[in-house]
Amino acid sequence: MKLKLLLAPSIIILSIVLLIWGVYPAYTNGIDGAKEKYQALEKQKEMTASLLARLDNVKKLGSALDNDASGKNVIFNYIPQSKEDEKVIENLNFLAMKNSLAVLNISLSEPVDTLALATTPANGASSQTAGTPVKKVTPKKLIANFSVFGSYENMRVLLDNLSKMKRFNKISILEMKSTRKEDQSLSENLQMNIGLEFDYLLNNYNLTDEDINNDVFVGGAFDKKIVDEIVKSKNVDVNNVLPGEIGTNNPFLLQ
Amino acid sequence: MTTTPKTEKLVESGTLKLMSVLFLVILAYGGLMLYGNFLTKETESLKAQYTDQHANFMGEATKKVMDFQNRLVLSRELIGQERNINKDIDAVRAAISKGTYLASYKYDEATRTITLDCYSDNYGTIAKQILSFKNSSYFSSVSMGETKLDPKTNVINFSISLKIK
Repeated sequence: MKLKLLLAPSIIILSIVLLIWGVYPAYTNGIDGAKEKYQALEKQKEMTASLLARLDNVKKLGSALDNDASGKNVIFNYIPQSKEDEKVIENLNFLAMKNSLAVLNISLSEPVDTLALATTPANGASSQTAGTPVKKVTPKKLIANFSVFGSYENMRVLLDNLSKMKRFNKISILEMKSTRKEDQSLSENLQMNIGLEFDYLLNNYNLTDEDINNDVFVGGAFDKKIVDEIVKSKNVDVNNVLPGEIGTNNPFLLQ
Repeated sequence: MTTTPKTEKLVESGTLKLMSVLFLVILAYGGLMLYGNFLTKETESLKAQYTDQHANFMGEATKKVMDFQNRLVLSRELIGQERNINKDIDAVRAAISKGTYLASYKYDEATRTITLDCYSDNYGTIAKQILSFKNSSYFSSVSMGETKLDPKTNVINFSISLKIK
């Protein structure tokens, strides 16, 4: 009977000990209890579901892009994938000639400090959250120094044409100066020197985990308002360059 | 200590109840361990699925979409940087006083400054010219540079720097 009486408190103590040092830590211990594992599973489920949704959106966006060739052309003309320097020379020369201006100089250069894409470091998959700041992409620049000679009125038309060109260009320096005739009297013709910046963006973007939360993959649609804006404000085409006749017997002689 | 059969029965029933509680505690422990293992396996399987899909996401299709998206974002930024230079020239033209003419016009995008090299036939006209630029709402500041009088022609050469608002 004495043993039976001792058994009861022993069971109580054993139960309490098991509850405190066994069951409760198995439920939650801040690291790998069932509660933490459940939370980790839910988080993983959420991440996988959102990744699958993003992948669906990638397919949707890909076909939207394929079905909108004109919008695509507007954007790729505005910011080309390469410097297209031959087109810059061709079009500056064409615009000057169209406006009866004599071209004195067209020279191109590339600044050395715009060689890399400015990006922020990539985060691990586990740290992805909606609303992560978008990586900033920096375009490369092609600088054109362009000098023309002619009337003030024609120069103004040329400046207007440049501002309406379908490829992005920005005037960084502009100089207009009067010239003198042989008898030293003021000429009606001016000389204009323009420093122009043409931007382009190489297609060498490296995807990172941050991009999973980019607005375009979250929303599944492109915001193409800018395409309409470009179409409305730009009406000067960027002409392509034709190779013309090639090949010669003596490359040191003009054919 | 003497016990009656009734007391003995009570002790036995209490012990049994306590044993059931202990059994339940052990069962809960075992259940939690098994559930924990199940959750670990599920998480691992989902992680493997995530890794597969992640590799898919990092493929060419996403790159193509992202490249276009970058161009859209960049276009929005660049179109805001474009300026119609003719507006600047118009603002200068509108403020030129009678008796002043330009020898050169220079615009610098980095400082958003227009530097004018001007000619005038007297200092009174120069003063009027400066006032005219100061009265223009297009410029935030007007700075006068050096003046030079040519005694042969009586023409004064002067420069003005205009900061665009």
